[in-house]
Amino acid sequence: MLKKLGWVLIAVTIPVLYITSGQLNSSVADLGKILVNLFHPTFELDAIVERVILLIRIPRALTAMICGAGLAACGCALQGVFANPLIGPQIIGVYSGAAFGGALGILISENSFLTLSFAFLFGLVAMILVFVVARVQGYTSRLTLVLAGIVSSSFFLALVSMVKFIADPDDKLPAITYWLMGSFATASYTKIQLVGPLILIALFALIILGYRIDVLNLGDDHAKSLGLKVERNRWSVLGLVTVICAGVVSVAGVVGWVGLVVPHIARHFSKPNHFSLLITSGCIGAYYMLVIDYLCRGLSSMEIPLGVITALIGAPFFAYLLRRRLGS
Amino acid sequence: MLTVSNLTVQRGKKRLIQNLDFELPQGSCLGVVGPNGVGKSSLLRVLAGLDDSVSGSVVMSGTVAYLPQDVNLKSDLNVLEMVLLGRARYLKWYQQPNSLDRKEAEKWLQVMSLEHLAQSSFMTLSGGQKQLVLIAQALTSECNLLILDEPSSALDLQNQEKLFAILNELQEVKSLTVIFSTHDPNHAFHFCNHLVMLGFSKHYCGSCQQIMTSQLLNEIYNVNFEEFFWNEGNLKYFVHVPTSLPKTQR
Repeated sequence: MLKKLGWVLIAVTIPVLYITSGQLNSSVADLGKILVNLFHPTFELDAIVERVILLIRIPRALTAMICGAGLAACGCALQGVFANPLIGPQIIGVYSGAAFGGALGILISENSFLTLSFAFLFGLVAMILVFVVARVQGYTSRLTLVLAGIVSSSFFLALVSMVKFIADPDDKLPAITYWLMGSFATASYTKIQLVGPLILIALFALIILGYRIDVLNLGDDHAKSLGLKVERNRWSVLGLVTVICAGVVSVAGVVGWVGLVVPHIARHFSKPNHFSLLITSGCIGAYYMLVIDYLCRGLSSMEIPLGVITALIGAPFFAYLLRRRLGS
Repeated sequence: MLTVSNLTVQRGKKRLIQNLDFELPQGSCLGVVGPNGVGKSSLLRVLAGLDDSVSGSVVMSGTVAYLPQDVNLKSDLNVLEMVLLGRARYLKWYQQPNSLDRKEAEKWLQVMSLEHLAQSSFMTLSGGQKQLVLIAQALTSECNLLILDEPSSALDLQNQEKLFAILNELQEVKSLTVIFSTHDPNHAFHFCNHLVMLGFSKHYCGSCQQIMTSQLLNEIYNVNFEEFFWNEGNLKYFVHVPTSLPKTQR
């Protein structure tokens, strides 16, 4: 009981801290007043504080949590399907496709929604490329899938380099480079409305497929012998993962490591079946991302790119987890 | 139950078995024996529907479950969750196993005397226990035909006895049809009523009592088997007697 209360306390404290602290300091009371005002205007508040919290920090926190949950669940599902704990969402090539789409969007227009749509679209294109390359005579093995992911990834990374090469070095190139390093700074309610439901629906569907991921985890022959349609189920999982990854990259740029690290943390708290594991990964991922983004905002007076912090924290942490796992 | 006609099996480009015909009634047990590389596993995979045959047909009524040779499966699931995966066939994509599925899984765990291990991690079990859990999983999928690829190869003698006792019991209780491959002719001889003997040049099918002889074993394995009678001549065993003499004679 006490332990549960502790978890609830942590679950409430992190977002409250995230929203109330920053360059412009505000108190928890301010947040409370703003929330009350939403339903019934009662309190007089500093207009700037209200605007910053309502229009910048809350949508940013929501975006971070949705993206974190999505990426962590993607990593968990992929590790299950491939029966390999070293696999993360970047392996299937969607990331690079979406990165190319985003870079191309910035290159040809100022419009951030074009960037978002291009990133999402090219994420899907990258997955279709993986599908075409990996499927041989109506069948896909896990190995060819990973190889096709590497092929697709390399191809689109080359295209990203191409876009950077032809971009205007004074104007577009810094924008593309910064976008590629990932950030939630441009989060808005409109973006959440566009991508949030897609990510959340795909996440929900992934959790429901948890039982089937358990069966796929046994290996193709075994799963087939238990009556599972291996191809159809695996591509369903990969399709959902694609939607989530493309969605995340389109709003936040390329955010690595979360999908790889969080499932390993979740394994310490969850039952080993993928239904529980996906839920736990999603929850931990949401908070993990929030903490990471908090550090991005707060560590220096200038905002540090998201991808830098996720890798700086993720890589050593992953090494530690891996050593601990191998040790046991 | 199972009718195999004119079946040709190959692995890669190498043709292994040609024109195999046999019929297997419900509740019977078929042993597959033959030397390494002759195509036992390939045949079982074709029968299980995992691979396609080159020609011929396999017609069966009911569902089939297949246990691979290597049960060194890595999974973090506990035993009950592992057995529950056997229900995959009956659940729609959005469904999770419910209490009825759980009961079915627990029932088969009980039959295999594994109920005390239900909450243990699958990874921590011994090879023999893992095999029994996977059989329980296959039974939870309500299969009518169970195909096991060399089930006894990784087991000690006590576990081998236990495994075959359970398979025999399941045949009687559930009228389960069992097919397994083995390198021990005695397992095939004592637990099966049908036999497929695979050699590199030809194969033999039929009733176990009729075709299992030391001459045929010698021909197929190219080693020396002797027949040995026990219990006043009522029980026949095959003993492998190497032609080269052992270094120390006792």
